[in-house]
Amino acid sequence: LARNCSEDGQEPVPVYFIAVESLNMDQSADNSRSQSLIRVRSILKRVVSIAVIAVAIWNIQAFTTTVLKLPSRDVNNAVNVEKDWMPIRKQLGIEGYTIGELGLITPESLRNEPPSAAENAQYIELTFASIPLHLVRSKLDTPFVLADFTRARAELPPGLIPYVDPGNGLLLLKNANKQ
Amino acid sequence: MTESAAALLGLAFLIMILIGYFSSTLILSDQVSKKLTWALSPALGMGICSFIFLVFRRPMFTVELMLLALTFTAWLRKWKRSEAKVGSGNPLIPASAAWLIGALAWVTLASVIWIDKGPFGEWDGWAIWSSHARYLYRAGPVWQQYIVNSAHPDYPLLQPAATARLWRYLGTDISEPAGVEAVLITISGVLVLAAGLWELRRSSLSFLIPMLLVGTPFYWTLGVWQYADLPLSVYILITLVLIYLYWERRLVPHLLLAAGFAAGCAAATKNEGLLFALVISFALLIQMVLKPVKGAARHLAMFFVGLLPWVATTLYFKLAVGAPSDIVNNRASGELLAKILDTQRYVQIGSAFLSGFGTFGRWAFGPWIVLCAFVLTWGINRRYLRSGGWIVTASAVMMMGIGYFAVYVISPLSLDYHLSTSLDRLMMHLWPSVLLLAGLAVETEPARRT
Repeated sequence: LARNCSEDGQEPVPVYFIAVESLNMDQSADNSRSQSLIRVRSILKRVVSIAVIAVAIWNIQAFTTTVLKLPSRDVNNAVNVEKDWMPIRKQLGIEGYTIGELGLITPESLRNEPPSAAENAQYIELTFASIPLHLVRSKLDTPFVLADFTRARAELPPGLIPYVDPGNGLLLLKNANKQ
Repeated sequence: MTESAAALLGLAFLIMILIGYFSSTLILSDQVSKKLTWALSPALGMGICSFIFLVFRRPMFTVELMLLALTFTAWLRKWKRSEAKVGSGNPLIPASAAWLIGALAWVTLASVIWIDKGPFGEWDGWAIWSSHARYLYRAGPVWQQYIVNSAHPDYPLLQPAATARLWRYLGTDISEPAGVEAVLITISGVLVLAAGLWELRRSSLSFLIPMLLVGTPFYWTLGVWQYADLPLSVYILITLVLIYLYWERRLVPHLLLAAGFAAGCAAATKNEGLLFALVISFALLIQMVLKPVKGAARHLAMFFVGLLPWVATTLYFKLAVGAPSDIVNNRASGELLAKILDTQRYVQIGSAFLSGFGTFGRWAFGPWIVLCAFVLTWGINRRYLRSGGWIVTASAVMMMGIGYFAVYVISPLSLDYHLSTSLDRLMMHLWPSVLLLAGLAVETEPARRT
């Protein structure tokens, strides 16, 4: 066994003792390093967790702001078209005309002009409101015809008699030739 | 909405959720916790009830009540048997769950306010989905004849049927039920993500990761807009959670039966869901061929049994109505080939995908930095990544992404228009599933009450 003298000149200490001692010291240094790494990681995890919650709350706050800024139901187009359509739907129900084709005329269609973007949007909204009736543009030979005069009034074609006028621009016309 | 209408609406939802709960409990046996079963109930219940509405129509109430009575009786017998066995082994729920519940309550309240202000939702919500619901409800038995007059009459009918079912309960087609149902499914998606992660990992991250979904404004917006993209994303998530559980829970085939049904619901929600049904079937098949498991054929058969009812109904509807699809119909092979060979399209789609990643959630503050920090801090567990569950679910998500890319390549619409009007919604289909995969990939530690 290789031997070594201790610093104070007393009993020599075997080299392997020194090696084990230094190994233990290395190990405890490693342990404390890994302990501090674990601690750092744990702190990081906590920080990231807080960041996740903070980001979520930030986005939730943005969503809430959007909701609060939305206009009220009274200015919602789909809601208003639905409301305007209701008296006509009721009358058609009384007449027993709840399914099939329903002609649609507008000032533009009566002048043979192509539909504007606003007219197209109104057509889709009216189509939704009048389901399961099928709104057919410029068709005048159905038993009832809907006149969409919400943007402007126009002269009625011959043979179409005003039947229901709720006063909101929509007009249900009866086809005199189809009754 | 009147008080009596609200009460009837509550009853309709209660029956739907209970049918979902009892059926899930019976199918999933003792393989999943009550938390996850409850989380799955609204979406699976909606799938079952919509199917009953479409297939049975007139005796809908009778069929629903009979199914409820049957599943309840079976559940009761099972519950009595298992009651003695149940211990008090519930692990502690971490404090992050309280944050999640609080955030969820807050966003739900905001969504309800939104529905009150815009009860019909956004353009596609009423022009497509509520329109189809109105045909189902108002046109009675001749709805197939008239639905062709609507926009995109080829779109699958799960969501419209769910809305029409609610109107049957109320006896009138008021505007609010569709929005309330959409919010319920939106909440259910968050709960499935949280309960799924908790079921699989029992870690505090189970409630942290879903915070990122709650904090995705576009997820909630799609819900209140009443777009079918939202239920689709929830059905995709449910399918993946159940398939993951199948691989982790000793390959119990009943889990695949439920997963198949959820995939079928996805197929019946949007056309993209049909792609998902195809992709997930393929991913399962490939995984079972590459790593054969005992009874693989029987297990796969269970998946397809679950998948069949909705896929068959949807395909029948498409054939019976014969409505044209804007992606598939009237396409010339020459035009398709020219688009496939046009490299400029790939570049344009690729760059749209890249920029879309950062913005599709319409975040005020993007979650990507914290998500990356989360993955780096927790660390990836390679053992998890090599598991059958992770491979199947991740490959399904990747294939969906590739599939969406391919659809843009051959799209008949103007590419600019198509990308700008749909890419964020398509990404949202996969976002909850991506969060699930992130939560399932990282190293976990047992939950502590903090």
